[in-house]
Amino acid sequence: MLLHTINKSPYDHRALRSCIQFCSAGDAIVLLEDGVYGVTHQDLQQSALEDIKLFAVQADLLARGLPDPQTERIQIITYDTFVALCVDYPRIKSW
Amino acid sequence: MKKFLFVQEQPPHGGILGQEGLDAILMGSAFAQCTVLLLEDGIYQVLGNQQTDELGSKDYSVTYQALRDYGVEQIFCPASHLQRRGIDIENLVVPVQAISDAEVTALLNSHDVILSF
Repeated sequence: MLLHTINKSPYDHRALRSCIQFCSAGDAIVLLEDGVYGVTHQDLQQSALEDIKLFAVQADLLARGLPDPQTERIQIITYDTFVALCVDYPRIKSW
Repeated sequence: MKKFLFVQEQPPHGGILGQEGLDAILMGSAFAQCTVLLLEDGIYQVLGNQQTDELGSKDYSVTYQALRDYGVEQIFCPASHLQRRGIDIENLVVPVQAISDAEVTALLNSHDVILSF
């Protein structure tokens, strides 16, 4: 069970694609910093990701003018929750 | 002994991250069981025939050959990332095991700590 963190834009970097290539059921993906530009990216709409939890950090969304991403699939979290997730998952892969 | 997975994702001469990662592997090998995974452009770090004299940067690909002496026995790379770049495994400076995407996932899940560079 892995917590994947992505802090780079999927439009400029392969981080999100690499993460999706190697994640598996039970994993979670957190979008933070420039990674939050991925909230509406088509790669996150794949059915293969049904068993993967998706999160995005609210402060980073707000700062980038993305206050209300129109997606039910992604849970918006605070940085405190992000820290809690880091503690909950046994290992973390930073992409 | 803890199992560390070092993931190298950057090419060698555009920045210092790859060399920093290799230094970390050498240090980590002193107190942990270390495995190396080369992802995406990270595989270019071990491509043979790097000639850096004119550029003035260091060809640290040769340092990968020393990893075995530090007890770092296994270096992996997804076959899909080799294929996308048209890299023949015979042209690398160290033996690299080409593995499937599922095997990469298993590798990520079987180590205590994952350090990415």
